[in-house]
Amino acid sequence: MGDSADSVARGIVRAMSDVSEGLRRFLQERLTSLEQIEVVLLLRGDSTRSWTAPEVANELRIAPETAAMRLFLLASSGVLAFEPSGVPRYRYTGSDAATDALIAELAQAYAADRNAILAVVDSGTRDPIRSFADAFKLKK
Amino acid sequence: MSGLLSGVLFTLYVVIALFFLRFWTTSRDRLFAMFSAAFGLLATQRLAIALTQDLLEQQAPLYLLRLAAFVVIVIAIVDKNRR
Amino acid sequence: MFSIIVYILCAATSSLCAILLIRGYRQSRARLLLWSAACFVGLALNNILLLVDTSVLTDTDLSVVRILPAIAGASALLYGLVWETQ
Repeated sequence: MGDSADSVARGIVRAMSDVSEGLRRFLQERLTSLEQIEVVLLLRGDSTRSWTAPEVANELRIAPETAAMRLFLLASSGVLAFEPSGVPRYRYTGSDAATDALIAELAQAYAADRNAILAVVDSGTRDPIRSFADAFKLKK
Repeated sequence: MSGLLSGVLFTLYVVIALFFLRFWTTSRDRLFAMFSAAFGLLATQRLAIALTQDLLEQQAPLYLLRLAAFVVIVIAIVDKNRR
Repeated sequence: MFSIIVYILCAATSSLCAILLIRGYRQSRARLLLWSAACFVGLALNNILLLVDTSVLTDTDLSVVRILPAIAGASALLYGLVWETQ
């Protein structure tokens, strides 16, 4: 009796948090930390605008070196575009249509239930053994 | 000297193989079983080299054990990507 | 000679593993992958030195030199397996 009530409760919680399987995998493989998520969502807010690392650092209240590193890594994975000028600037491009759709979903989910997203991000980074096996997947 | 170094490397391979064996039992991911086998083969080859050190002419076919170890790793990677 | 092909294949496979693990480390930040990559770099070097020893520098004996990267790499992996997994 207690078992079925338990699973019903869990089912309701899961439906409420509603993080899809695709988004879950995306968060465990591509955007694996809260910092990365915040940077991506910040730049997505205005995709016509290009940002410098100090601007991002200021907006998110993180260290400028951290912001610079995050922006560079996100650009090398394709989610952001790198614009070399006097000072490097970054702009949101969303890599490809599928990635863009996932990030749009992330934006919605993050606004609706931040804790659910945090829970996924946390669980993804905790198993190095799983990460070892996943490293050998050629396509991600 | 080279006998000692061979012994060290043999032991390292064996322990690594045991770790991968344990990961296989806890995660049930075939990849770890295969990596365990690969390092087991590397350990076997290292032992065989040390034991036949004075019989140089006979050492040549031992590279087949090394080949087998890396073939197992390739199979593990292919298998991981076919699922 | 067949043995040369074998050593090249082993070095190539090792290098592939190292590359995949480094890419995996950039995505997951799991330090175990870094130590594992170091191991496969060591194995690749071991095979390359074996190749050099048997076909290029045949008058010298590199048997002590070539085992060192393998020991270094395997030690790094073992360190990672002991300290970087729960």
